[in-house]
Amino acid sequence: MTIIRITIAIMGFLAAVVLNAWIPGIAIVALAFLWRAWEALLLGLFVDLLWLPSGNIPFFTIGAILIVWVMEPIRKQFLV
Amino acid sequence: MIYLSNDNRRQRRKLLLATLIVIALFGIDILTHGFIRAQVRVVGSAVWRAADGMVRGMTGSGILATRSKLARENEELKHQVAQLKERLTAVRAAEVENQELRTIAHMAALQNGVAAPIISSLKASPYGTFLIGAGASEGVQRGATVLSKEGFVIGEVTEVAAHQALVKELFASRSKLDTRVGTIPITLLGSGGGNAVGEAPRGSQIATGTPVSVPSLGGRLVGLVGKTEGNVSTPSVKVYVRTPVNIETIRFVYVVNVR
Repeated sequence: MTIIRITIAIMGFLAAVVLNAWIPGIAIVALAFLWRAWEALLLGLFVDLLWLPSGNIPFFTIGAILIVWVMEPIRKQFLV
Repeated sequence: MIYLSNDNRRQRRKLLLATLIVIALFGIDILTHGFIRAQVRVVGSAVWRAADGMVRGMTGSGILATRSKLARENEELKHQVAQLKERLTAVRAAEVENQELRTIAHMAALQNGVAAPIISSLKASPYGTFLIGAGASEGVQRGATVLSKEGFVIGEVTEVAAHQALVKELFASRSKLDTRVGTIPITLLGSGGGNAVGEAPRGSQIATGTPVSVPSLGGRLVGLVGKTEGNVSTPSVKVYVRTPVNIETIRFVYVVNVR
């Protein structure tokens, strides 16, 4: 499971630089759903620091924080 | 059970700490006027250039495409062919680059500005932005207009670091722009990738290929009409506008500072 977690995180970071923005978004949701993933938060911050023009709302950072904490009760239902 | 509960609590605390760190990093970045984002962008553009170089090398040299054929030949010939193809790709890439730079040099003779390479992906940003390899040290200012080699406006500089700048695409998704299609004023809504759509009053006669200009940018051209939908019986005429060049294939841009 750790390998899957690391792979998703790395894919997310690489996709944020090279591919489409949907992929880091999906990576954030997947990480947050499956684990208490601090890397999902970092990924959201990374996307915003890389691409966000100043003065705009950091959707990815806020979104990652919301998803990570909103997923908490759902995750509890599925995880041991 | 007690162990699991403690472990859960520990993980939860770790997540809370990570959340606070992320918020703190964002705050520090704002307070330092983008110090952290400048570093992140240097790393990001280096990663993109490495990936871009690899993709160009692999697709251009034909090493993968002709592997089965080359396998039938002897090792020496295989090596020579690969080497020659690699050199040819490099020469072709340099030719394309030279051609683009020659066109931009011609543009430089007409107006003062800076030619800059694009150093990031043009499709990865969720905010319709991309990075160029020229910044404050090269004379790029915030609010500068970014032109394609054909002279069409493709974006505006929104942030400037020492040697790079962040450009927001003019037709970024959901962005609004007051334009003039021929003589008809139309507000265009960007849809990304150098495309935008707007609505003209009923019965407007707009031909395909009509140039689209922006009065607030001194009447500079931003695109051409690609298609129109509607006629005298419809409430309005839908106008589809696009930049004449495929924005995802551009490698150099020309930056003109607004005085």
